Amino acid sequence: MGRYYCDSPVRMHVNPQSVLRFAADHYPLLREIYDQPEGFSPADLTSVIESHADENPPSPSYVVERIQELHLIEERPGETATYEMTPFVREFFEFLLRQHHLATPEVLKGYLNELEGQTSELDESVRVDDPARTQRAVQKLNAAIESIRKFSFGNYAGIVDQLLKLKSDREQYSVKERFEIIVDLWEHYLKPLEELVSVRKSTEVAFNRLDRHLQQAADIYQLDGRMHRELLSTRHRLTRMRRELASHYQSSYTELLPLYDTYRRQNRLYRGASRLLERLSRNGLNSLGLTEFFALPVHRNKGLLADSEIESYLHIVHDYTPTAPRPIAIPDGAPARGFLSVEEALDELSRSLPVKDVMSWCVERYNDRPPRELLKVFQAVIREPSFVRYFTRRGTYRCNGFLLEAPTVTVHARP
Amino acid sequence: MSSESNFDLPHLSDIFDRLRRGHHLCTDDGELFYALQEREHLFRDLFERLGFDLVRHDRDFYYFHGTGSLSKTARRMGVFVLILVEHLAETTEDIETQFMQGSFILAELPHLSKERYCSYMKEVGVTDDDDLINVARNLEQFGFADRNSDRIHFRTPAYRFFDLCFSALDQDDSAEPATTAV
Repeated sequence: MGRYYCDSPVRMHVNPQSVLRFAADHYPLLREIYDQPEGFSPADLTSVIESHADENPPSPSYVVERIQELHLIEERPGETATYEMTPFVREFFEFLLRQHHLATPEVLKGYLNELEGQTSELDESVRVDDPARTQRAVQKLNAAIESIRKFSFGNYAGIVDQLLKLKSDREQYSVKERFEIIVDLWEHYLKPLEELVSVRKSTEVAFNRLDRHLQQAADIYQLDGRMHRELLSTRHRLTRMRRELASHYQSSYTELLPLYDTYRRQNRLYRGASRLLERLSRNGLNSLGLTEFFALPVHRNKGLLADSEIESYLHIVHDYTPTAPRPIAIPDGAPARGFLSVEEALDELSRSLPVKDVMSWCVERYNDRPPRELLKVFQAVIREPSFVRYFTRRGTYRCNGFLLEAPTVTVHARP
Repeated sequence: MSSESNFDLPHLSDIFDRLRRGHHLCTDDGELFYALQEREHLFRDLFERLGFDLVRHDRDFYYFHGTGSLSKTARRMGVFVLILVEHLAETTEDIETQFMQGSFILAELPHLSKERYCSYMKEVGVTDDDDLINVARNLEQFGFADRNSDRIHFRTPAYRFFDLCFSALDQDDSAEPATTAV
């Protein structure tokens, strides 16, 4: 087995071209190393190298030595004789293979804190006119901006990856598990993206502040071409980051929302059914409310005639010939009773004016009438507006077997 | 009576007879459903005067709602469907699609094979395959499912069972303090 450089605290410089050439020549080997995140022993590594050897391969020991020289593998911490792919190389492979790991909001907070810190540093460095300090602040700002951009892209790509896995159902997930995954993505990975783009949030304020300071610094360093360009470049970098953040968030949201809605409904359905079955276990059948939920109308036929009865009755009705009604018998000699017209009585009274005693006048003329008809006339006289009436003492009058008591009313025509 | 109202309604006798027995009418019922749908207000008017409350569900099916008791039948159907929903949640990725579009062979369902489900079914008096077939018959009778021997396929009115699940969750959630937004 070759020498191992992995325990050296200082990483020696490697030629990038050499790394990429080796990676191109030994891609299947590196891919297999990548697919074993749990690590491998030297013996495993040798056997993997041998399994991917082509015609006239270099010796396994040479390959092992080379792979270590190029810092493509390193020893796993805390474990002896176990090696894994170097994190930076792993990250590169993840990027190429579009296998992304979702980062939590805590990671984002770190980047944002750094950004805000360096914004203040930039401001201070410009204020004290320290170009070297400004330069360092700009470099750190660039790093923070790119970290945020990488975070955003990583989460967006990670969300899409997870959703693709769910949709393709490569691993069997139940409704409950799917919903838990979706909620986890929504709460822990989509919402941080929302934090970055929401105009109401402090991050937007921080971005605006940085943008302002960069512009101000660029104006101040107008005469320093290089510094001016760097400041503007950082400003463009910031703009690009903000644009991509919005795009990543929008795309993630668009991908996630339909599944969130769908699985939310599925999950509610499942939870509702489980809740009811649990209720059945604890509280018995009556607690389910099924009888009330599926209540049906109660309809019982009572007292209805059968069709045959109705039909025979209709026949009877059809054959029925009505006879003329019996006339109403009126006895001979019975007097015809007419009505006492109040209007006619008033007209006659008017022709007789003045009248000393209206009731006496009514009794004389209509003595054969029922008292109620006399009283109607008496009332009409009292209310007639064309008469002038004088009321005096009450008198009594006999009419058709009745004794009437009424005031003595004298009536004149109105002048 | 509304000015348009009349008794000359197509398939009136069949429609009324089915509805009053608790049957749910949906598009699968063809002419009966469409006749009811086209003259819904006339049918509703007439039924109302006879003392029946015609309900049109959001999912486009009709039934009479009343105060009569289904009791044992409702319980058997309800528990049967609840078990099926839970089973589908644990074994499929989409309960609703599987429930409404799939078909189920009674003998292959877990209602009498899984211990917990067995105890639930026992509560409602279902203990063997014949009882299970009777439940399927009930579901067919009320228009919740179509049945072919020992295989059932749910119809649109079966969404009422989903309503039951959501309702149970809403009742419990409204009684508990809010914890998460989902």
